[in-house]
Amino acid sequence: MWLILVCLLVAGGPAAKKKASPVMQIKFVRSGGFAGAATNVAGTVEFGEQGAQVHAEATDYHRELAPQEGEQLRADADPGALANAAVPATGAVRDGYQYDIAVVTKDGKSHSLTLRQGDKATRLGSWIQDEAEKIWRYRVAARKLPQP
Amino acid sequence: MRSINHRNSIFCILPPHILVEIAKNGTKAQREAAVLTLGTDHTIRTSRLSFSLLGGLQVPHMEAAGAATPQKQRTIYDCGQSQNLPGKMVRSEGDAAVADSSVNEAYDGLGDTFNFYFDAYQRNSIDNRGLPMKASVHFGENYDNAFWNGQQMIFGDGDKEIFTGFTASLDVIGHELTHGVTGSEANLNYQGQSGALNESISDVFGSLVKQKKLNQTADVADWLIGAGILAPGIAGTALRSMKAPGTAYNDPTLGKDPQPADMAHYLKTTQDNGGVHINSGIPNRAFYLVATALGGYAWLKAGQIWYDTLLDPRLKASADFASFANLTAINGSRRYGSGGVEQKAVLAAWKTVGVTVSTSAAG
Ligand SMILES: [Zn+2]
Repeated sequence: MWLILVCLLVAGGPAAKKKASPVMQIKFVRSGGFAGAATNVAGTVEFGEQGAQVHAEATDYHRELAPQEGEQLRADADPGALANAAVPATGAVRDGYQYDIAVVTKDGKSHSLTLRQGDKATRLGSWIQDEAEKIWRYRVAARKLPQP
Repeated sequence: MRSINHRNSIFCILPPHILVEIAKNGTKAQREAAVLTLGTDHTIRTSRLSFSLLGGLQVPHMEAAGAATPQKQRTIYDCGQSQNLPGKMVRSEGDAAVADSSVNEAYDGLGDTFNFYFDAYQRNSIDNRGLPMKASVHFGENYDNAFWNGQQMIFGDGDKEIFTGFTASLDVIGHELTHGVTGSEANLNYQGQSGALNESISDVFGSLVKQKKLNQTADVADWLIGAGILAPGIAGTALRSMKAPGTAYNDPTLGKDPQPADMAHYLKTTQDNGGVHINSGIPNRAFYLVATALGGYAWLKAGQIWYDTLLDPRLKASADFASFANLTAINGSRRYGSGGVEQKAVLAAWKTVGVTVSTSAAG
């Protein structure tokens, strides 16, 4: 009996640790808004052995995610959880933002999801929305800096 | 419109689609009775239907809708940099100006837009039934957007580096309120070409609100959208140019204005609901071409043709550029005569931007 339990622990059985997430990367694009393409934002979250980090296109924006934040985001982006994040749009908002999200898993597959302003907030959607706004503000702030 | 004081009782129990058929194909008396019965159904689309069935353009829309003397009902709320709507009420109809310029700009902008629609097209507010107009300002922190949420307008303050504030430009306020008008009429789907038409109609009437306020003729107007909200130092004049789509800005932070000026450069994309803020450049330019070809005040003829088309019940929510163009040709002909300069200007404009108008509409 004890031998069987030890073997399960050594082998990493279900009681020993959580199943490893297949999520390797999250790509996201914010588009729309009254200004249209002028306020577009694109970012990528990379998950690796050293944790998670996000960077953005067209800027040097870079941020290391806190371990708990990275784990939560990775869990929320799991393809199995994505279906729950897809909330039908209310369809009434005009000039709202659109968020296109693509989750790349270890098998190389891409799982996509589109959220729109006015949709019911989900944890993944809220994170993407907040991060897109952070990237945009970084771009705006970078404008103030003296250009090389 | 001849007044009718009674209703044929059998019409009261007929379903709307049969009433529509009678209104189209019945005798004159039957048509009028059917239209009157339809008119008692206070749904959003009824006024469009009655408007068209009665020959549309000979009947003032106000009369068809049975609206009373229009009264503005404006209420402005302050979100206090939160994203909680509507926020605290800070100015309502008839109140004196307050110290907050964003509040006053929103209040005045709603008033100017209301006046525009009533003076130009006898439209009583967003729904043509005097719907109170609500707007919230100071939404979010340095928020770089303005939008319509289906019930009210929402304006951010802008980050002050790129955008100065979204209440600063009358065409922006006119644009957002027009989303409500479109929602009350054709309710064009916010996706692909119908979405780009939805955007374009907001740009068209947003620009016309500004032109009328400034008493500008088509040749004098700037035909720019959002010119007043770009901060100094931005390499651009506005967010969109109806006259020359694709030329409004070319800036290190904003990138280059991606709007196409014709169908040859139509952008296929899944972003932005299928490029609704991008491909709107094509119908925007068509309107500009009609307005400048006809000359004078753009809201009088070009605007009237576009407004008639927006109210035309044949304009489906899923309309594409070609079907919208067909209806502008039909409405131009119906209001100003077949083969007249107005219809010719409409046909020439759509041809220039590469949208084909069907021969039946062109005839
Ligand atoms: Zn819009």
